[in-house]
Amino acid sequence: MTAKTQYVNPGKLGARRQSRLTKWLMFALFVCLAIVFIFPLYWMVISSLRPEGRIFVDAMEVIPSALSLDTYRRLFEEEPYGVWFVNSITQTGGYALMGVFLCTTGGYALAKFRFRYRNLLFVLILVSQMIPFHLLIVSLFLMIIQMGMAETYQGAIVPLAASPIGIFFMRQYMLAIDDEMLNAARVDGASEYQIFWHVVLPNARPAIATLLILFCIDYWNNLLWPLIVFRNPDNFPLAVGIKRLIDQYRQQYDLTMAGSTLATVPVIILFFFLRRQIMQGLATTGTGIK
Amino acid sequence: MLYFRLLLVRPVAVLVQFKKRETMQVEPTSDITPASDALEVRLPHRLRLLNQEERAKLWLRIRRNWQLYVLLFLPLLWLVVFRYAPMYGAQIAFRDYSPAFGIEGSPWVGFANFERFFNSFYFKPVIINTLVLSFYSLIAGFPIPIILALSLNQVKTRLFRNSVQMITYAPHFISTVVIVGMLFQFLHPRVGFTASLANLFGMAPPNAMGDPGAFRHIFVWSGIWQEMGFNAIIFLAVLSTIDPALHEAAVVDGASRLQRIRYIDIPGLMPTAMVLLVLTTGRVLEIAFEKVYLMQSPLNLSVAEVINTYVYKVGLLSPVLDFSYSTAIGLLKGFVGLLLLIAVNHAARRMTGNSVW
Repeated sequence: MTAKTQYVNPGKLGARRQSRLTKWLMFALFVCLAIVFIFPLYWMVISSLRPEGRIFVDAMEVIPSALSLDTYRRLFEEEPYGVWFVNSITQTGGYALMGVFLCTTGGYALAKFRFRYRNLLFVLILVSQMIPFHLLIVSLFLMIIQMGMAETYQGAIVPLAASPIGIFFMRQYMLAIDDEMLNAARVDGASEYQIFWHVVLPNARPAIATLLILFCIDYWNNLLWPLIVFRNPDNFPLAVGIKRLIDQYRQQYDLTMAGSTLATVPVIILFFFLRRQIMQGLATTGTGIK
Repeated sequence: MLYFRLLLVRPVAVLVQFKKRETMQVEPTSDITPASDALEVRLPHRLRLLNQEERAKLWLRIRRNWQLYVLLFLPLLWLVVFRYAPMYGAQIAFRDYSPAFGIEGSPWVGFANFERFFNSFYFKPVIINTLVLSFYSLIAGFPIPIILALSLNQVKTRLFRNSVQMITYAPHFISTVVIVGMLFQFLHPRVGFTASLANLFGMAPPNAMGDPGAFRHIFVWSGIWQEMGFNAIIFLAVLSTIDPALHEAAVVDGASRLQRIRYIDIPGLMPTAMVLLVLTTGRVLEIAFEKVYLMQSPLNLSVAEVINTYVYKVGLLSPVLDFSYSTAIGLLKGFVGLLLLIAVNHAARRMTGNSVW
């Protein structure tokens, strides 16, 4: 250990001294980068906060002189935004729970049981991910109509729930769970059911949490499928609702921006608080390294 | 969309790595199916009818492993119903589908739907728009996350590095609808930020969203803005696995920073980058439907109509819904995508020795 650090240090010190200028340049570069990435979001928020009728007048002010929550009031009074918000939460929750359940059981079975055709099955699951969704849309839509699920929450979430990639993700994670632990539980007389609930699930908690978050964000932002399934504005989730706002108010951006801000806030909050969780999950399973 | 984009392309890369690993280590046998291996040896001809004793054994095996089947049943059922069954429905591409007759009752028409598309007025512009837009996205968008990862990898200050990473990948999680709404607003000829900027310099404010010439650039670069940080994650992960001893040795030998990037980091990234490139190319025709669709306006339709949006309009939006025609176009696109995937994989293997299969 000490030998290693001594070995490293001279080079590192040299590099550090040499690159003071580069370091400042990089710092400047990254500050620019940060502005480029944050400014559009800032613009969205202040546009939604400009007082009514002044969005055109005040547009030139980067730092607004007057703020008002009036747009948000209109959003809830003139548009069924509250309904959309609740729809989004319900549908997202249902989708994420259903999806995680299916992926966890499937992933566990594929990772920890040995059975004939397992690998074939696994490949078939992955292959189904490669099928372009657009190819399936029309026949999925026909199917939904046949099943009587058009214009229902089930129609929007059920067909998307079994995500092959989610199964893959869980399988990768489950592979890392030690077989010895499961066998020990078996020796102690635990049933398979008990093993799944009390040994596997607690150990897979990080992966489950990651998947849950990703599924939530996924559905929250999903537009295409809900757009096809729903025609009635009272069933819309947020993304479809905002699309309607964009279509309706092409020249009047305050409502659209307010709606967008409110739809983005939960995602950003989720993301900032659970950033570590998401990244950890992706790093351990998503890249397959370690 | 319904896949997270990262995981979408990554698994096969991972799969390759896992395959390698799996062959190296002996898989621990779970005691749940002790009989399966033995049985496999005894029954080489699967088509042979099982005699009574064997049949009893098979049942025993199924009964003993019923938990397994319970676990597998639901996910598999789901995939079969919602992924594979619609594939069966895709046969309407070769039929003249009408809801009255159902999928199987509609008459076969061979390649008529495809021919109709080839002869259609939209064929040429739609194909050209799709190809230009997708390859522009690919060529501009692919190297940038790599460059970002390489430079972030050089930054040693942890806080700094993490915050930059966080800022750059946050936009990934914003909904496409919101992004496009922001674009419309940001680039608005009267209230947009670009308008303010133009006014400041005394220029006429541009109407970027209405300009067909600007559509492709706006589409591609806003896409890069949104995805670069997220796409850099995998490259950063790969870079972090490069043996530090290589860098130490290079420093001792007097290698400069750029030389170390050139001769250590980039070769280390190559296999992953190639696999990702192949997979991205295979999906290149899948250009973000939602975004193109939302960005379309009568002004820019001449460059903004792509296969996916055309399929959607023909099949699900037009007053006369033409399911067969729309499915045929979708099928054609899937087929071309597959060909592209095979071609790029082949090229990648020939040129760099790295490929998906």
